[in-house]
Amino acid sequence: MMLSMTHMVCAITFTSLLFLVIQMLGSSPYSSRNKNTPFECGFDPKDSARLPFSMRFFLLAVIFLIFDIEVALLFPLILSLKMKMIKSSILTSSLFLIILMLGLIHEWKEGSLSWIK
Amino acid sequence: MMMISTLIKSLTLFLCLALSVGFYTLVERKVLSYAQLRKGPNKAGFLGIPQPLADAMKLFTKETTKIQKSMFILYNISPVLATSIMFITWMLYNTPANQNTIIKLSIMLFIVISSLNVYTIMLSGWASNSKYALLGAIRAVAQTISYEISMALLIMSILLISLNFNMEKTSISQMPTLWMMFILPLIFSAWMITMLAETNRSPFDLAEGESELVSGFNIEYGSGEFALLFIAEYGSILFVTVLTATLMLKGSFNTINLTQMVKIMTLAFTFLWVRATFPRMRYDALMSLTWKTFLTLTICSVTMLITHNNI
Amino acid sequence: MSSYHQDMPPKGGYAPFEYAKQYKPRWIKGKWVFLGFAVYTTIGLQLQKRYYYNYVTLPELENREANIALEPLLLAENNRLFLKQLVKNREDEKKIMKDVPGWVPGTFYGEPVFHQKGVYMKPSREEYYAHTDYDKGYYRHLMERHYH
Repeated sequence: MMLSMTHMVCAITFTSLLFLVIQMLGSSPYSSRNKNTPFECGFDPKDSARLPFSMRFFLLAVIFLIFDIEVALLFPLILSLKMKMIKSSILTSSLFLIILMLGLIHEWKEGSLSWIK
Repeated sequence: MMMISTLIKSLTLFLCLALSVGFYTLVERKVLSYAQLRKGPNKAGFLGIPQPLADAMKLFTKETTKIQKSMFILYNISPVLATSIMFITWMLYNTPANQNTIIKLSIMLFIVISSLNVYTIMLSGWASNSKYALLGAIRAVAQTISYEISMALLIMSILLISLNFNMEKTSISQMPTLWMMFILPLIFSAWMITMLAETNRSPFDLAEGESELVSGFNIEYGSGEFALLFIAEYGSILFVTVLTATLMLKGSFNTINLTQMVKIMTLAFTFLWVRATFPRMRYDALMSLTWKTFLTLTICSVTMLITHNNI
Repeated sequence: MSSYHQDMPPKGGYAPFEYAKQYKPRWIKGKWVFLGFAVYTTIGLQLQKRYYYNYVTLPELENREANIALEPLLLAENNRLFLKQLVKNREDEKKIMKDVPGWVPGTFYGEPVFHQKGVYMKPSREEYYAHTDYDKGYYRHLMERHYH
């Protein structure tokens, strides 16, 4: 525990030091307007580039959230099988998986999985 | 005392990782060039072998820029975060050189850490004030989170056979000749495709579709910050090959033996080979591949494998 | 009369040409692929299951049995070490307090310290390790057993 924490802290510190070295080597006192503009094709961007994005991506994130929670709920199954709680765990998990599959089919039928309607 | 030895081991691990990433890029350039019937980098030093060192020197001494209206802190944090997450992921692989961290639930921790990679992509795309970067980041995030579910279920269908969350025990519980790859060929192919998509590799590299979004989420990054993002990407690819070798090909932990190296290098070469061979997929095909094919496949396989060790 | 001849189709018309894609005849049918896959996977999983039972489950069971069998022995050894240390503490106390008149080890001027109202009280951790070298590690596992 302590050693893995040391590893993590070491990783973050090492990368931050690397970043400091980069900033020290690379920062230049000279700057011009053209150097600092973001990449565009043929014109100078004036406004913020943070545009509203497609609703598809948002829906996808919502579906991901549901399925990810279901996966997280399913993971302890392995340990309960290891502990030989066979009858109850097989029953409940197969029920759970059937419900998951039915949910997937429902979303498929509804058309929320297909990218183009 | 233990802390100091851990510190030294970790630092050597990071340096070796950075070096191996450099040489992996050299291998990639060579493989791609020979796939396209041309010679790759062969001028620097002896046969072009010090090329990645020269590239790193160049990248780290280039000038950094401040983009107009970009969020300065987030813009600079995200490459650091990406690289440190990659370094943290490597703590799961206990070689004799890196035996400081013995983690029982290492596969669980891999799933947890690999889902953190999304945030760095999202931050770097959002913070650099560019339309291309934002679009690339949105695409990459959608792709990564979609493939994460099927990845978790694929891992689960392997773990239902080995019945624990430890990488080492999972590799021990495979047969010496009939590896997991051979007894579950369908799961293995789905796993390889999922890993290609999860690391934003070539047939699925819509995040950096060069024809539309010049370089995806890392357009605005130059110099060392780009190098950090690059190290993170390639380090995670190398870790994925190690994980695949462990879970599917009965990779070993205790010794740095030749077979383990051959397995890892074959898988790493497969990543490059796929990049040299296949054309890029369409985005809707990519999404329907994971949501409609892999998810159903993995749910069915998990349902079937529940009973495997118990009936 | 010219020697010119109009190009005409051959007698009986041209041969039919291929405009649709010609599929190769499959050398194996789909259902046989499925069947073969099912047989292959079943055999592989059965082999895997047998291997798992022989090389993972049985050693684990054996280890657990060995642990259970060794448990009384280890506990007895542990308790013996604990008692030895208590005896050593009493000897030390005797040696240190030999100049005090009327001092009986294990009591505080006639009042028993470790047996209060018939209940045995363990010495506190500091008292127990007062005359030992904690860093030796020999005592450390004792402490873990008796004083968590």
